[in-house]
Amino acid sequence: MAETRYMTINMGPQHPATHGVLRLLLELDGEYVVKATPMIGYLHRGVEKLAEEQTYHRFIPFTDRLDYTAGMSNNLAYVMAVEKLLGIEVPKRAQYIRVALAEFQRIAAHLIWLGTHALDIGAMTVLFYTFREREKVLNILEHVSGARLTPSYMRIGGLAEDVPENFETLSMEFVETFPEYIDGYETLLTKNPIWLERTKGVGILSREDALNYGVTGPTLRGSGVKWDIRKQFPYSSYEDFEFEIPVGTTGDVYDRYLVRLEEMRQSNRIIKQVITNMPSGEIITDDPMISLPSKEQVYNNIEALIRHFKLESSGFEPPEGEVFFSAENPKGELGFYVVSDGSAMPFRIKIRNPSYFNLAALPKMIEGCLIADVISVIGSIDIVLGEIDK
Amino acid sequence: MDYHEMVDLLKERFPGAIKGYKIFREELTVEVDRMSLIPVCTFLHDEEPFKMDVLTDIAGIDYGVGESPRFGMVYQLTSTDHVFRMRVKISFEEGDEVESVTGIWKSADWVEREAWEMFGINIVNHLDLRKLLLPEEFEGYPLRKDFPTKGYDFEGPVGT
Repeated sequence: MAETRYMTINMGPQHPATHGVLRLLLELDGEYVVKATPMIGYLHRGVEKLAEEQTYHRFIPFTDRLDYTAGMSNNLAYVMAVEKLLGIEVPKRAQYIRVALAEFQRIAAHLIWLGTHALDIGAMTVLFYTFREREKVLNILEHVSGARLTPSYMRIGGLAEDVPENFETLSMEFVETFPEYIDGYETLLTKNPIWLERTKGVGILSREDALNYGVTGPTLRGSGVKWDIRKQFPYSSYEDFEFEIPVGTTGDVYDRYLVRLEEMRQSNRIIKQVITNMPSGEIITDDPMISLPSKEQVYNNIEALIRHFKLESSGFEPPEGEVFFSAENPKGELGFYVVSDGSAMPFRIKIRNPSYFNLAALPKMIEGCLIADVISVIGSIDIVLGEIDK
Repeated sequence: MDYHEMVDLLKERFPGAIKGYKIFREELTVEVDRMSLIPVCTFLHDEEPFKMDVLTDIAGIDYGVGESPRFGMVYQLTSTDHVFRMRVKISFEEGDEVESVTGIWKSADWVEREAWEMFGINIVNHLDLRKLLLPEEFEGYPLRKDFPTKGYDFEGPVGT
């Protein structure tokens, strides 16, 4: 009687298909995965510790560097958490602009995902098309914020400055043409027999498991749970816009693919509504204790200069208390648990990073799969290690 | 059912285990005795009107050296059926045992490991308690308030 022996191999941390420095310890029975253990932490920077030594404003650039494919969305989640702690309302125009930018960022992030996911599975062409459109989105974001990946554009109470004059025309140009491009990607993949073979019935996560493992975002919706923070706990005026929440049926890699494609269409739809209904008015709350004055005021008005100096050097002091706020990011639910002791620096910030919880469910999805499927499952949960490792 | 009624229900069901509650910015925080964490969480997970089927996050907290209680754990719970959230909070001293909730929610696995390595919280009945984000040989608990941000071995920039 031959004894059963498993072979242990390391996938990563320098493997291109693990999307960053992720190491997977795989125990294999032939080509089948018996046990998988993800090893993370190679990028750990201690962001939560650093937060305790910054004023609330100064932490904004750190959030850009969590999920570096979705800087705007991270900014939004963080500033909204602090605004909730302060109990302030942001002007309508700022809320609308925030929604438009967050949706642009979702499209950009999903385009990276689609390109690299297809590349992992062997369909190289898609990458060139998706990065072409992503470039257009990033150009718009750069035009608005001055940066492509790390915008730091949002401020507590509003935005750093108003959008440039031609923002609406640029956005409309993109929004009008983008649905055709999505159809284009679909012609490459949706009915492609190789794609179907590699994705259908692979990496199935049931509805119950998805909830129990705390999986969020497209991965959760792929498993058939109609749960989207934008609908369930609307923030930043999301209740003003019409959009659908796509859900999958079986919870396999293919379903997650379909969900994300449809999400891009819905994001496109939201941006269109934002641009057509854009209200005019202020872009930052007029609260001298909290919001930074505009650059123009700082240069021309001594009180504004003092206020700017005071806010930048010592910050503001929110009331004592604790809040949890989460936003629907491209990867899932990004939450910030902020504890304030009444001083100018947060007492504790805990980041609820979506990729981290999605990755924790990876062993559940790949155990029993073929080793080649591991690649397609990792691609389908769309992880960013910068966020997982904090 | 509003927050006050929910807390009353919990108090009735677990006499003495609910140490207090707070409502801040329309968020409910219930303070639970450390020893009753598992029964309370099981109840919240299984029973109406809660049905908290998702554990969104767990945060460890260090209240500072010399504070009593020194540490806390905060469980963010979400109910997808009833679309609401609440927080369960426990407080304890260094070395006190905290039962793992991985038996109720699998999502607790990594976050509990993180609380264990970052704060030195003594989590028991966790099946796989290993370092997660830190290197295996790392000593100390970086998120504690008495841990210097630059680390113990930092001697300043070269040349100073």
